[in-house]
Amino acid sequence: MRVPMALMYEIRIRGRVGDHLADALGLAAEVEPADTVLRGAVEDQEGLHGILARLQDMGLELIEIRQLPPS
Amino acid sequence: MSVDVPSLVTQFVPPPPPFGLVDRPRLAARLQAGLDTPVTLVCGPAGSGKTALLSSALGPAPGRPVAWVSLEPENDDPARFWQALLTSLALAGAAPAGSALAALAAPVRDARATFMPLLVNALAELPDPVVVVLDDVHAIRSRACLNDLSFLVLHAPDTLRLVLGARSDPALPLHVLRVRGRLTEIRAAELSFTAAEAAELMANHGLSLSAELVAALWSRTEGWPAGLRLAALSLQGRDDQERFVREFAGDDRVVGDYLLAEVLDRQPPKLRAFLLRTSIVDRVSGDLADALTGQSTGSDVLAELERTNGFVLGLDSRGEWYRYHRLFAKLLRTRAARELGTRLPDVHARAARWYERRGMGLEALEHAVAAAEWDLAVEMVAAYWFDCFVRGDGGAIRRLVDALPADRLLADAELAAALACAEFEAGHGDAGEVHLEQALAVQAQVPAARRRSFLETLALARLYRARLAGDFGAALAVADELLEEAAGSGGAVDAAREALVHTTLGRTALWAHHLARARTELEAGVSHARAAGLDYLEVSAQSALGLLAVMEHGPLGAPSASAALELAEPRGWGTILETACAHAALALAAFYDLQPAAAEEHLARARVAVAHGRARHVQFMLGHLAARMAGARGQPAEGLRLLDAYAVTHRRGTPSPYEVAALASMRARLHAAAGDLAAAEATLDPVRDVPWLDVTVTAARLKLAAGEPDAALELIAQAGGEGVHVVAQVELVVLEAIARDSGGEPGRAAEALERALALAEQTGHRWTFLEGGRRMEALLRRQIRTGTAHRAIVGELLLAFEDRDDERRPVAPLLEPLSEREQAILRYLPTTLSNREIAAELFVTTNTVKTHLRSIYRKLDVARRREAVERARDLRLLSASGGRR
Repeated sequence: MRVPMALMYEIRIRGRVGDHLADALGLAAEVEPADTVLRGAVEDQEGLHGILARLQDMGLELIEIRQLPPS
Repeated sequence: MSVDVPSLVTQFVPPPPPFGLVDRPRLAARLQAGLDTPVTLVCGPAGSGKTALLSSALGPAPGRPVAWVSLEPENDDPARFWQALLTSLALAGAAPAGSALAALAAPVRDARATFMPLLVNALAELPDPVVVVLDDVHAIRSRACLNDLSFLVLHAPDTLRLVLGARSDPALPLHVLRVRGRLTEIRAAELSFTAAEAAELMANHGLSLSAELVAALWSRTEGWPAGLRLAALSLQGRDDQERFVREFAGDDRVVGDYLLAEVLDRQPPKLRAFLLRTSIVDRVSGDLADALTGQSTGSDVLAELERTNGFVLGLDSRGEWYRYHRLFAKLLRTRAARELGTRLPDVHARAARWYERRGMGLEALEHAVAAAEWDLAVEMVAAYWFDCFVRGDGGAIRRLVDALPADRLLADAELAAALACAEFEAGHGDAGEVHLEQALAVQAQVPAARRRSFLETLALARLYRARLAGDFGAALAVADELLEEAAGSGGAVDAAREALVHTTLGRTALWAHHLARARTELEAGVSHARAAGLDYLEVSAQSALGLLAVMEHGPLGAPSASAALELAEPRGWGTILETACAHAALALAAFYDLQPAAAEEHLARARVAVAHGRARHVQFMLGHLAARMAGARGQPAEGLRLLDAYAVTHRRGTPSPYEVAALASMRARLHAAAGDLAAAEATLDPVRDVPWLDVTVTAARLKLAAGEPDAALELIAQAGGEGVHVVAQVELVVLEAIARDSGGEPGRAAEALERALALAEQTGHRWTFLEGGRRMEALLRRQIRTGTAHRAIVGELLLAFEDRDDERRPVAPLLEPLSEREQAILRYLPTTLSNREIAAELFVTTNTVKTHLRSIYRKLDVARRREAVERARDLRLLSASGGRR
């Protein structure tokens, strides 16, 4: 069996996002001018797609998404 | 689950136009024009006005009904997805009574492969074209559903216009349609409001803003309709409109989030709390809202919101149910999570209890899980799993259970029993055992009020287990004890449960060969299932009844099996596992009724059905019949090969004692048919003492073939074993007639034959007589001369003998062995020597040769020399390469 390993992802959203939105996604938010960068551990691909679907649900505009190298 | 679940009503009607709706003639015209192409896709982000556009622009027109489905995550399963579509078509009046579409049912499990072509054909036959709107297609993500929907998209008949609303491009082969010009698309850029539309929206909200302010809002929201709506809500009743717009335009926060905060902050605290608390449910009624808020004005508040807030939509004309726009609800929910904090689980628990009181198990479960109210969640699963089960959706139970923490799963007796049931039913024996053991270990905790249903579940699990273990009789006994205890225990009686329990008992009794019991239970199963509207279960019980009828009454029982298929086929369930018994019954009936081609067809369909699950006992019955049919075609070696193949594929698992006996018995008959009596006797040896008539009949047949009619008669006289199929009783009497005749008792032979014919009259059995060969033909001719009460049947049989002479002769076992002298003459038959030349070779007269030849022909059951050679080769009395030259 494959050992599930959470991966770090960085998701960039257009506009400043309130803390409560980031909390709802289980990610840490860092506000940069005009954008928000959400960072956090994601269980697997399904989890990632889940987060993206929820961003879409809330009418957020996705700009960029990338996997962070393991620290 | 009760029928008045709101989703059943509201999922299939277009939502009413929201407050402040802006007419968008350019898009409506595009949509209308799009109906010229088979598929239209309206694709844009949440809150871009897709649903409002679809519902306002696609009203039903005369002769063009519109079927509407608002898809939800629950629909992401083929059975539920297609059920929703069929329901919407029915509600839209698009499926005329008597049409194939009206009869079609959603695919249960294994009917999936056949459902899509049936649906496409049914749609193609519609007299009027129908528009089907599937809104929120993004809720459908499973491969199975998307594959099915792809099929529909690619094969959409001219009578279907499919309109899809989605937030993202669905994973469907739309590119294929696009290049062929068969797709119309309306995408985000077109859905965005123009500045003029933005101005109209503001005006519809009673706002009079300068063109400059509207332009600023429009530019900041990029024409996003939901953003503009939120802005309008926030602006209502504000004095400082200009300041608000300027601040908003200068802020870089996410539009929706910013505006929602503005909207909420402007509400009185009570309304604000109302919105946050009621946002956690998908649909809200006044009563549900009161349960969530602890207030009593829910209905009024919701009605008022619908009048002023475009995100609150009424779902029915009675003003009972409402829904928040999904985007609005999502934003409210993230707020609720933050602001209600530790009080949030309590709100979910209130929702769970409200749903539970109304029998809405799935919703109750969802909120019980969210509230971490595990007792309630467990109770909901324990109550709801059964509903999935009787509708043929055992897989759903696993999904329900996945929502619960593992330790609760292990600790709960009711869940463990339900899981044992589901696992055994799906053929997972090991997993089933684990859960069953667990259920028994902790059963003391089951509350008295639910003891009855718990015991019933245990009984069901035990009965399903027997399908894998083959111990039908033992399982029936255990189940009976459990059910007796259940009947004396507390708890409600439920129609669906009754139907399932009776059906499962009946099927088990059938395989345990308690035929009278099987009939009582299955008939009860059918009537309970019909009363509860459980089609799947009714098909299952009726199918088993059909098999029972043919086992008990022979081919004349076939209409009962046909009834099961008449129930199943229009629904597209023609070859689901549950119909295997009915197909097998029809195959048996056709074979015994001398229709081998029809029997092959039914057998093939039974094979398809049975391949969908693990049902060793049905597989065996089919293998057994196929072998018998091969023997009847004169290919006993092929019959033996088929039985060997069955044994190899089923070497794992436990055969029932009946299977062991019936298998040995059929093998022995085929060996005998191939002329190898020694092998036949040896094969039968291990099972001689088992109490089945089948075995006795075979033993008698072997004695007769060995030229020992007295020994055969002795066996027949002692035969008292259980006749699982009525055919064994017919055979017994037919053999008796032949044995009496061989033993020189023509009077008693005629008397036995008369009894056999009476049985044939009652049951429709014919094959057994033909199997008796030329000997039987002679007996029947004599019977007609000496007088019989069954002239019609005798005439029919004699005709069948004649027909058969034109075709191939079956290799029935040699009923009387050839004498040494006859064998000697037989070896000359493949040569070109004349009778006189043979006589000369053997130093006998020509007349002696002729006498022996007549005897050989009679014993070989042939009319001519050439046939005698063929038959002797089949029986291995001559080598295949020919005789002596």
